[in-house]
Amino acid sequence: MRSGALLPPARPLPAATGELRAEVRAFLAGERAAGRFAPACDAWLSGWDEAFSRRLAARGWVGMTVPPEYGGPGRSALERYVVVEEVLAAGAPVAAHWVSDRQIVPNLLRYGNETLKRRYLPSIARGECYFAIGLSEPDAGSDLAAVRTAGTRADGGWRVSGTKIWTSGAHRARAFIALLRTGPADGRQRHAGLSQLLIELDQPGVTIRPIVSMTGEHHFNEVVLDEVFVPDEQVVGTIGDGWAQVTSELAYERSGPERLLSTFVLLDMLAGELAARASGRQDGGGRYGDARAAEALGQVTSRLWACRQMSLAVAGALAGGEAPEIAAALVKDVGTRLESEIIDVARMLTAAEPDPDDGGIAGMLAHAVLHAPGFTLRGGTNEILRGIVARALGLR
Amino acid sequence: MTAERELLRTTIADLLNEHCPTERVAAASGDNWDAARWQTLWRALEDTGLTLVGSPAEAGGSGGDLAAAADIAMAAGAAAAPVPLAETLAAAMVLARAGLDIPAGPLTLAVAADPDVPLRRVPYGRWATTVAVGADPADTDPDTGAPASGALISGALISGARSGGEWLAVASRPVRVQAGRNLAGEPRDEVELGAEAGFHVVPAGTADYAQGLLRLFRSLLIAGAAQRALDLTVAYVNEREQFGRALARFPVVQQEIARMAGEVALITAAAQAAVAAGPGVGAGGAVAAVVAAKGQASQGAGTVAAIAHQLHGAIGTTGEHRLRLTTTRLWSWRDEDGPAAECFAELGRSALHAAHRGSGLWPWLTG
Repeated sequence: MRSGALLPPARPLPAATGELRAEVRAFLAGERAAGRFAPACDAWLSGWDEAFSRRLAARGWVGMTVPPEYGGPGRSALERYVVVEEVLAAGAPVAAHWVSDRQIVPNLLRYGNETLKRRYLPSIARGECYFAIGLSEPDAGSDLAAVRTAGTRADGGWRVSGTKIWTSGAHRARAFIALLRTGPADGRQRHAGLSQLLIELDQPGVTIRPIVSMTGEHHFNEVVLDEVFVPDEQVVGTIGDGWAQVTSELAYERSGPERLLSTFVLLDMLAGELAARASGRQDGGGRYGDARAAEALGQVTSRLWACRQMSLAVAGALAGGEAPEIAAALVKDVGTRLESEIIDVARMLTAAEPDPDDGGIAGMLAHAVLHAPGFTLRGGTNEILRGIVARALGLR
Repeated sequence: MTAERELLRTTIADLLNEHCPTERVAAASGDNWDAARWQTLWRALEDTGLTLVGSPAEAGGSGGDLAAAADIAMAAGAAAAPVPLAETLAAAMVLARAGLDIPAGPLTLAVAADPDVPLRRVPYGRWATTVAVGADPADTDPDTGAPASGALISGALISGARSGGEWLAVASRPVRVQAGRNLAGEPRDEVELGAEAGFHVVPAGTADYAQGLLRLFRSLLIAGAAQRALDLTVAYVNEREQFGRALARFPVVQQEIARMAGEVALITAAAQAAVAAGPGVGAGGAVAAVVAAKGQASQGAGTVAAIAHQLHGAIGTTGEHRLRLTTTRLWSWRDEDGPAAECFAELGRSALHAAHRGSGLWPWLTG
């Protein structure tokens, strides 16, 4: 029996990325030392800090793959990967530019017309232009092809009406990229007739309502579009190709470092606490006395290390022009579950109870626990992804 | 993937599949493993040079790098080949690194504390030439751990200053072998080296290198077997019908297949990364890739085997079914050459050292 490979071959990061990694690390250490940010779990969703985004961009680390003719540094996807890893591992507030950097840049570079590229890419690379994503709707969550937001043909563009939901950051973003119906579904081809439009949010007909999370934070919104005029130049790619365009980007979205590092700063703080506790103890029980703690920490770090190797293998394949769909979906399934496992290890090994008002590990734990349900929902629920994996493996 | 690598993978897979049909491997899975039945396969492997890939030609090896040797080990794991192929690859690499000749025939590798104490559960010890590596505790200063000027073996000091106190023995005819086996019926024998074994003083670090290779090759065997368990299960749920449709049509079955695939991918990614990093301990206090890889393989093996059996139903538990040839190996191999708890504890201590130094876990994880 010959088996299909689940994973692309391991490809180590180019040696030159080591220098970049060191630069980013030094920058982040400086920011922390200056008190300009405090590490937080899931800061790529909830850490909105426009000043930080601009400082990061000033170093050339936002919109890194934007070519010089559009105002960017023109660096590689793997270099971007390294920067993203570093900011996530530091728990830095990158939510403001997150969607622009991860979604909009590759999307525009691949499908955007010249006007869109000139309109948005330079300000994205300056860390000043923030986007949201308009995929989900009240009746279209996992079943994305069920979107009902629709555009009707108007003179020189489209009139768009409908409701998008769970749009992170829409209340602060300049625009969002919406998937909507511009033509009828073609019988059993439910994915036909969908298109991607970039819609500016500060205009008549757009109503943005906050959806407050159980953490008390406001990052989600409901965006209601009522006869909003969107000129033709704001169409991304080709009318009717929206589904193919959205799914082609999913490998990036599913396999990036944000699918395993959302709770990394909690793990890091836990290790620091355990090490401090052990070195302050003179009970002769070994240097770090508590063998059980070491074993539990080793278990979760070994899994994290392995997840990262998977994510790197996918990143290498993507950079080589491949689209490793199964492996990308597996990274998200395994990695996002690990993000919650880290919380359980922290709960097991620290005496602290989750405390939203605490400035240390108890506060970080509280934040992580309340964010955890989202880990395996966002970007396509893990159950949907597992169905995709099974079909791709040949389950009929 | 180069054409050369692809050719190697195809060659080894075809050869092993030809010689390892279910009934033949099943017949070797009790307490009756018989060297005579596997001579033909072994000769075929030797004739094509596949048993010594990864060791340089100057030392008597077939050349090729660690990645090529890794491909062979994964194929051996997938095929459940009841011969010491991975063991021979690893032992030859240790000999070559120590500047010693590679003897003909199958080899097996063991790391020992004391050459006078019988080695326990040596793979294929009754058939293969045992290559044992160790640091004699009598040879190091108990307080400082500094090496003495030679290796003390079987009561005799073998001179060789700056040896690091490490020795290597090549025993083609051990003084005593007591047969044993693992869950898959693979020989796991007790071997007493005896004074007749060829003892050598070897450079410092040889024992760590051997230990790393043992863990690495065991991880690769597990990765191959885990992939095979997945392949068998995918095929089975597509064929088997219940309630009027194939098991594959049930969402709950699809979910379990994907969960299994996630574990297989993790095991494979970790093993591949360990191959790329090499069998050494982590440089500059970084994660020791082989330890993380073996920890992952050992932990994931159980999950993979459990899901495979659950989805196969009762038929998978029978002696005649192919699945058990793979799962009994997974259940044995996960506890051989570094069980999960040992690897995790080692990794956890290393993580705590990194945290204690103040640099945090991230440089350690990415180093």
